[in-house]
Amino acid sequence: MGGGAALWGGFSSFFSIWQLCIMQISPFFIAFLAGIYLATLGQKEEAGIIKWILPPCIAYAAGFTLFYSLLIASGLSFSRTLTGNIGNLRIAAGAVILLASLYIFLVNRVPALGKMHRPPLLSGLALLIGVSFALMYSPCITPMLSDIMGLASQRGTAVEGWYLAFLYGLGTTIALCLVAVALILFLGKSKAALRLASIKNACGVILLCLAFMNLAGLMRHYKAFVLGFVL
Amino acid sequence: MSWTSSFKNYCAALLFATALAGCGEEAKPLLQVGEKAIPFNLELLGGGTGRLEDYAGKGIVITFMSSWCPCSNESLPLIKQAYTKHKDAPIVFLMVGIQDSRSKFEGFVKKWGVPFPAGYDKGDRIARDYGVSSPPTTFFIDKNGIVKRAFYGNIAKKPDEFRQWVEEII
Repeated sequence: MGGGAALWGGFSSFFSIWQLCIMQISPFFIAFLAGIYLATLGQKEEAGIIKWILPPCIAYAAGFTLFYSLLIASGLSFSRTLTGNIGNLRIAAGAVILLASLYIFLVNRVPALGKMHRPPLLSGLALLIGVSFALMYSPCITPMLSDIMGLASQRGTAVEGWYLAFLYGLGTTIALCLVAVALILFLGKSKAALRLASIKNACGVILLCLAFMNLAGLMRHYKAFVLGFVL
Repeated sequence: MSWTSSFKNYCAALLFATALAGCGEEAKPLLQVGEKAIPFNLELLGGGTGRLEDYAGKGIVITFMSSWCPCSNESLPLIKQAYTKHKDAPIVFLMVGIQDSRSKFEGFVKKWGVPFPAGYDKGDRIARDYGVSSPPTTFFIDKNGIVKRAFYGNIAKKPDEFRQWVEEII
């Protein structure tokens, strides 16, 4: 299997039945991106998508893809250490998501936060969100991911498996970012634009729920009940 | 702050986070095909405990599943079929519920009428020891306790290979 095939496999899985599993993260990422962008609309006159959304998307992709691929490559010793500490890491992820949700709630209310609201800060936050989402995510094993995991789980082929998993995760993340940006553009042009503050707060609430589920160890229930209901 | 310095700072932060995430509990021995299986204690749904040593001298098919996972649901009929075929042979089939709520997993076992032992892996401890990050994952362990194969994903997509792998460990 080549790198291009892995990248395409990840990208196309987003638009297939496997979206069911990606729903563990996709609504929350869209809420995060929409939340920070709507906060920008309330703060800055120049709120171009390329300046305010593209850098956070790239940062998110970097954080998510690196940790996602490391967790899949169980043949690497480092990955074993990550898996061994996954419980604590998921709690830390919950704390990061909590901070992100509070930021979305408060950025238009606290002047000091408003001054800090710049693309580099949002990119840093997106990077941490990417890492956090990778830690809480349990991917469904698509046929292509099955082959990648077979390689990534064995010492002799772990690095090759990690590389393919990285590209597979990158493909999924590119698709997620494209969909999120398209939704934000639609939101900006629709009548919903009149209720931006409410939508921004709703995004904060969605992230707050996710933070609570991670901190309380309830993500398994989200998977069992919400995904199980859709199934 | 310029974009270049921001980018450098974030790369440094990512590396630091990666290193930090690896601190803490030491890496456990890696479960590898061709090596000894890692001992486990699985609390079975019907009562009692399933332990690796209890099945010494028998082949073991151990499958990690979740009720919410489409591939777990698709894999089960084939595994049940293999169990029925080999129920008098020296082989044990074992299902481990992971990343699931206990009640949902119990419902899943009931819904499918799983005829072999199944247990709920509280806190996903066994899954961690076996390096399982996602359901379904299936291990084939021979009568000497050696992991002969590991398969990640929907086993129903490879029915012939599955039957052959089961035969290999009897």
